[in-house]
Amino acid sequence: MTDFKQAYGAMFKVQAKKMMLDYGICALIAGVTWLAVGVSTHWSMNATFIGFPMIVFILAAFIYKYLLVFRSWKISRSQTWRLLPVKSGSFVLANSLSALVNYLCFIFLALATVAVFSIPLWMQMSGQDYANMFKGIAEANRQVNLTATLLILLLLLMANFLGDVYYWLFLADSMEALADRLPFSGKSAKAVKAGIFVLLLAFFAFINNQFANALVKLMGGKHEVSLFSEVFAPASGHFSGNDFLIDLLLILALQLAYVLLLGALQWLVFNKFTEAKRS
Amino acid sequence: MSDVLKIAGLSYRMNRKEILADVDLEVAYGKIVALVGANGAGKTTLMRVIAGVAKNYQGTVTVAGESSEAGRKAHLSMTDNLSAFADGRRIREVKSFYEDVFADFDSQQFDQLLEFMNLNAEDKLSSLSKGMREKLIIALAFARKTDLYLLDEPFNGVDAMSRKKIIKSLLLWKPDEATIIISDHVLDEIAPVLDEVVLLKDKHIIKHKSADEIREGHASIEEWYESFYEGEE
Repeated sequence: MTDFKQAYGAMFKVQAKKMMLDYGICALIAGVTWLAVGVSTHWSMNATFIGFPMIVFILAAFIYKYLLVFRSWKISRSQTWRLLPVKSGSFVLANSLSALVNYLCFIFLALATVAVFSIPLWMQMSGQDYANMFKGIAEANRQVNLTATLLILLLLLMANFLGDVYYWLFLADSMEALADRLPFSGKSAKAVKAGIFVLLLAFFAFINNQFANALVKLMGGKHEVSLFSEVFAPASGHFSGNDFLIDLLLILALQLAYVLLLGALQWLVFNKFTEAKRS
Repeated sequence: MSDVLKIAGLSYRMNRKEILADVDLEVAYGKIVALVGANGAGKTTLMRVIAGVAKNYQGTVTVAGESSEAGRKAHLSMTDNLSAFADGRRIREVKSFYEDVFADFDSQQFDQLLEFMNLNAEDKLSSLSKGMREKLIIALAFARKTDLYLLDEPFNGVDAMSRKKIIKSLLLWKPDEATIIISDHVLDEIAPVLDEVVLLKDKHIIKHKSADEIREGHASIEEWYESFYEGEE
């Protein structure tokens, strides 16, 4: 039997090779942008030479997420991968987690690259500039625990990514499962699949919307006022860091529950209906 | 020893069309079995169901006593279409993948098979002809030490001399008690090594006979097979 670790390792390796190539291309584009803007602005302290590469990486991260989702789908339909003697739950988990870790690696590399591109800015900052910066960070940390906030935001990013993977795979697998039960093959089958996909997309977007509305009402009802109003009270100037963290944690908990639900649905369809693509 | 493969009441539908209906099959350990039938008879579908990569079926399938999909896959090796690998990948990278994911993959046997097939580990998949690719697929299948080998038309595009050479060597590559199920259109070439023949026609297995029995009553296995299609265009 192939266990989860082996399946995950193999999937990660395959995805990582492509990730390095994708990152390389983005870094090249961002690097050219950085150089062009830096030279033209004489590496000005207004830091536009960092802004443009950041935009490149932000766009790339958005596109890359969906590229990873597509690659995960290809893995789930590939006969080579589907011949692995691994339980379907481990397969689904390995597939999604290997995509997630690759995504995080991409983000980390992007941040590291932006940090390197920021060196001309660091070199121009005076001792007073650094002092003011650290003072600002310390003040913000007094208002809200920055470490905890960043950690929760990272977990939210990861949960959001996993949710997307499961959501799109669930849609694609459901489309295939429904299309297999209809009397169409060849070119007409492709048109039917496209139609089913659009209908499923609309249906689940509607369900998502209803779910989100229900959540907002639920959270609003629990707090008697809308989310974050205890956190931000512009009239009094009061800001509650702890309440901010608690509300973030609540959002994270709900997001994780949603991810679990989507993951379970995706596993059900994959386990019961999803066939490997014929050669 | 119990059967390596047991199928009971297997039916498979796709796009509201019945491909297999009420198929029963039992195959013992240590046999070389030909799965024959016309194009579209359901041979590939049957192999995909056994291998656990097809889902739309009813009935039971057991391989080496395992009925779960993952359990069956651990006891069988099927010729693969290499869909996981981009054309730019080299054979050694494909080998590395198999080493990572299959505990029963024998790297030494694979290297020997590569040499036998006149393939080079540094060759890119894109540089392989159709026949060379099929040889690689056969090498990958037999580098695994399992109970059941499913070879789905493995000689497509393989030249006649290589086909003869590979067929003669099949017995050398598999573990003694392992079974091979092979589907091929050129029956005369694989006939000398066959123990049994399974004929798929009209969604059913209409015949499952020993090769010796067929040879006693007919000039060749090919002639016996053709007799089921006489009168059909």
